[in-house]
Amino acid sequence: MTSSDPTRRTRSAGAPPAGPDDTQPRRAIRPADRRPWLLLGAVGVIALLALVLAAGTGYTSAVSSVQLTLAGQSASAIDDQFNLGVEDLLAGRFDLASQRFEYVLSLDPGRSDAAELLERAREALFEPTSTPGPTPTPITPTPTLDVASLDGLFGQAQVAFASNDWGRVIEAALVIRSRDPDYRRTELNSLLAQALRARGVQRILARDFELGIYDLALAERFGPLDGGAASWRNTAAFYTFANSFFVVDWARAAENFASLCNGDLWDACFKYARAAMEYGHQLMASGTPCAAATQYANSLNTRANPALEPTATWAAQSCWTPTPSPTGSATATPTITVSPTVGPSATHTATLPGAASDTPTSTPSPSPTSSPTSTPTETATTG
Amino acid sequence: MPAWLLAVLGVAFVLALVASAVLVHLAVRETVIGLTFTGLNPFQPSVGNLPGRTPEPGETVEPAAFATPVPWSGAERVTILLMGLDYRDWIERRGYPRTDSMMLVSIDPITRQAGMLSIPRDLWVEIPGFGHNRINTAYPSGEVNKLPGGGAALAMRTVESVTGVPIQYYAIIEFSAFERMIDEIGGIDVLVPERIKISPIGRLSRWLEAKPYHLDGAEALAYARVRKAAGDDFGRAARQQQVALAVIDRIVGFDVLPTLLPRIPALYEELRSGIITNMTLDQMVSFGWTAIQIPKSDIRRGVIGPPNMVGFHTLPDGQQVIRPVPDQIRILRDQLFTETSAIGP
Repeated sequence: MTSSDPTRRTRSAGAPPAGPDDTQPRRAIRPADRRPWLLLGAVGVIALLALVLAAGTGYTSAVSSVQLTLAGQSASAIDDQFNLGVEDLLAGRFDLASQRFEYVLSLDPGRSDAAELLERAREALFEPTSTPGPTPTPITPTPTLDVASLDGLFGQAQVAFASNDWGRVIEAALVIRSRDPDYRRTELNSLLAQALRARGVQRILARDFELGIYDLALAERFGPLDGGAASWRNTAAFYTFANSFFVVDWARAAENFASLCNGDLWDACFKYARAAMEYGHQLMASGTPCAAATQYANSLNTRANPALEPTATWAAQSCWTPTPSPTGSATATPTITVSPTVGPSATHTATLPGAASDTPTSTPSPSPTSSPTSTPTETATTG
Repeated sequence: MPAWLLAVLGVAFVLALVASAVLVHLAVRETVIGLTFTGLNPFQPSVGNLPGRTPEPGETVEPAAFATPVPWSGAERVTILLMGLDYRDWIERRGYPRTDSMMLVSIDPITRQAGMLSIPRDLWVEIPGFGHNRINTAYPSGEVNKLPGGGAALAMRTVESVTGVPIQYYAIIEFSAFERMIDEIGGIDVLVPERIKISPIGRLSRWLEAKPYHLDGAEALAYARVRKAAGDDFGRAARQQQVALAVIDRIVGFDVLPTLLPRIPALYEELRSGIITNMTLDQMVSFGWTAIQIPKSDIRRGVIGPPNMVGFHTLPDGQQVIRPVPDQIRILRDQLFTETSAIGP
């Protein structure tokens, strides 16, 4: 009987009471306790978060530290260069001073003191001639090109073109070309050619002759240069030719710079005066005082030089040839005809452009080609 | 578990967590700072950074897995001025050394053409701000006068004024670094065109006959530096270009790249004191990667030299100098750089 009691069977199986008649005490059956696992998981997450946070703060701290270090180095370099620039300016080393102030402004465009001193240095640098040199270009940081789309790039190139930012036009055009060589090809070619042409002339005006000539050579790949650009290129080429003789061959340096000085370009008169003076010294040393006197006169006519005047006077006096007068007294009347303009060189012709300011729309009107050459004419007569 | 034990474990855990966090913070910070100042971008690695070691002679090296370097990304022509310093100035400590050799290396990333132009050290040029002098004095002039960017910047500006090609980067490689780099790629093969005597540093001089040679670092350096006679700057420049091409041949032809690339960061760390440059390591790798993919036939070479491009002059004080002939140099410049430019219709 007992073995067949269904209630007992059920209890032995641990099942809930079968019915309301089951009055035996029962142990409540609780679900499995998961709290330790949850706790461990939470701790793990917290630990992970803490480590990620630590790595993040480490990275941020490193970036700040690097930025601070770089800013400190930059500030120190800016101050050093500014102070050295002032020293160079005071010592008359205007080119070096310019380089230093340009550097300061490239890193800190807001330095008005550097901008002012740069202007002074540039004024002094171009003082030897009255050539309308390049005006100091305000240095402004250029934002990075947005290269998201070709249309966007083309738009940026057009905006840059409108604001005469030739470097940026070229940069944008090349990025477009690298991504799609056929994208608005004709318009892009036109932009590139004009930007290269304008930058080339701009560089020549700023005395970066070869860089400018190179730009014009690239521009010429799109088609012939206009007369203004070609004229500036020829003049720049002639300047570099003349400059290659400086010190190594004073005679040829004087000869070639003389024609550039006629156009009053860059520092050509300064160099002509120096070359003529040095050539004069060579002529004096070789026992040809009359030729030397001519060179000295050329130099002094071009640029005042009190230190040279006694030497020039002595050369002129040495050039006198006594001519016996009927009375027997020797009198000498030196006549030295000085022709500061020298004539055409054997291989080069300088075309001297007129205007200095130049944009793609305003081309300089070249003055008639000067045919520099010749040997300085010197006539010493006695009477 | 008793409550006190739980409390102890909790405190220990918190302490360990704080200590770990501090360590992670410091490790990340130092790593980022270190990699930033070596020019490596820790979050955009372009080369493999597996630790490497120099294989023993005869050891077979399995090609290591490495990330493919990124080619040069810019669209404009990129030009580097490579300079070697004067060994005599160096060892005699005569102040800042003059440049013994100058070579422009230029790549147009769009047309994938390259040009190499060597510039003789005695070229008589106007150094911006310093008047006329030999071109090899530009570097020390900039250093002595603490110009922005130092001597390298002035040298770059001076070379630009001669060639007209805008220069973005420079690299000065000291002798020991050059030798080590050549040894790292297992030496180079050169065809010596005529009998020449070389004097590797620290070794006895020896003659090379007119035949092919395999040169190690010291020999390659000696071969690149030697002058057959006084004034043989032009032959020397040609030998330097020959060595540069031999390096590319070696890297490409002998499949050195798989073993070299993973070692580049470590090698750079080892050699960085011997390489003065304004390029980051990433830029150097990208430039090199682009350069070695250019066929040799698309690498144009030139030397500013006789008979047309220079004239020989003696200064009043007896110095022998070389006068540039700008028109002729321009023709060479256009052959090397203008005709190969992406800037064109």
